[in-house]
Amino acid sequence: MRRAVLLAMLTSSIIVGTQTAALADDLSDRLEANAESTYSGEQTVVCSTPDGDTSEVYRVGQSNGVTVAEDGSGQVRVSRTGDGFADLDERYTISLIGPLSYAGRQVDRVDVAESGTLRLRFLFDIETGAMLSSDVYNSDGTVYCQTRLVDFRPGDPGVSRGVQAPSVGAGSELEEVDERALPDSVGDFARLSVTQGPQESVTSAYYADGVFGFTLLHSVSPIVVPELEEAPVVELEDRRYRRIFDVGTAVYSWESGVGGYVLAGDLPVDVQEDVLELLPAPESVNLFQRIWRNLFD
Amino acid sequence: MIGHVGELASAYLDGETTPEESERLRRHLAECDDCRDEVADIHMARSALRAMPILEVPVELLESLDLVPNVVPLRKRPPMWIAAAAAALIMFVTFAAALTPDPVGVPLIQVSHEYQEQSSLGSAVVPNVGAVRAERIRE
Repeated sequence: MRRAVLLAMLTSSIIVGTQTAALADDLSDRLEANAESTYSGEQTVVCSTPDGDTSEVYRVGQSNGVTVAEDGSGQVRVSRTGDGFADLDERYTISLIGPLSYAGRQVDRVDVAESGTLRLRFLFDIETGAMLSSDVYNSDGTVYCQTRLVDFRPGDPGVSRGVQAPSVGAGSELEEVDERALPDSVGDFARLSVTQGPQESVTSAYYADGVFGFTLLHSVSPIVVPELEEAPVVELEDRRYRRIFDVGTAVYSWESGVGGYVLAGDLPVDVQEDVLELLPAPESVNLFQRIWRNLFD
Repeated sequence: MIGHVGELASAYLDGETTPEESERLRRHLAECDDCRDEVADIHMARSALRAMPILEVPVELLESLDLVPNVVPLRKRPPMWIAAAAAALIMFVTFAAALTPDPVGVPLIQVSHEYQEQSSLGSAVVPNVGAVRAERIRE
């Protein structure tokens, strides 16, 4: 398995409203139940980003640990579910409210707050465990992304019927890591895995805090993502990045003094900026610096 | 030493005498041993001077003698170690540049796939749609 499967830890919890206090384990249990559930339907994804709104509708089906998502053009993506969830950072608190009624179903609502500020809200179908909706919030309370499972058909695998789970990725954990380029933590995000990236000279690290996560690709050479070459350059406190918002995923690329980077993650906008500030900053790297880096880094 | 031929001997050796003077000189030399010796001595001295190596006068000496014109710069050949160092630097840069790899291209679909492979809660919040989007972009 490419990354360690870690049980969510009970760190702190609060009681919200009149309902039962939820433990971190409750969230982990519900996410696992969601991963094991069988259902189909249509999923809408709407994100409000600094570069504009994005939205898509997908036909989804899930069964036997496989999730299949098909977009309007017929492109299909198959992925595994239920590989486990990272430790929940202690700054998060979880609250459970339910049962509630939502779209004719009985649901539990799970809120995840960061230092008292709501960051995530899930609605889990009580009967099947399926996650019917999710909302991701920026620190100012605005919604970054939300998903809704509509036309919900519990027990029907839909497009996932008969689909086999894809094998685990071929990459194995790397023993030697350049700590300057890929530190073992970035703020509150812990590095959970470091593997060979999609290209030979690229290293891939995954960071998570139990709620949000991001992949960081690094190479001593500049990394060029063709789709980002024409993307707008965004300036964050004198630091310049290429950025695009895929549906539900923000992707940044830049070159620093220790190499090229690509970051992809589900982080809310303010967390994206916090994380980028902690990583090696973009620099204009000349030929001699590249030569030096290539020879000695 | 002043002989019979006097200053004419030097002019004769330089080829600066007229045909009449040369003829008169040759007749005299045939009869006068002293003049023959004198001409031979002058010739030998000149040959010895021409055979001496040409020495470059140190700049410091010229400067101490105030013989260096201010308006005429003297060119000094750079020391060998500078030339060797420059050649080594050029070789190093050329070698290193040859070793410097080109930028790595990673399509967005691979970035998204990598993220989907690694993420756990990411796929719980927004199941798999990012990768689907990336594939559609590639199309």
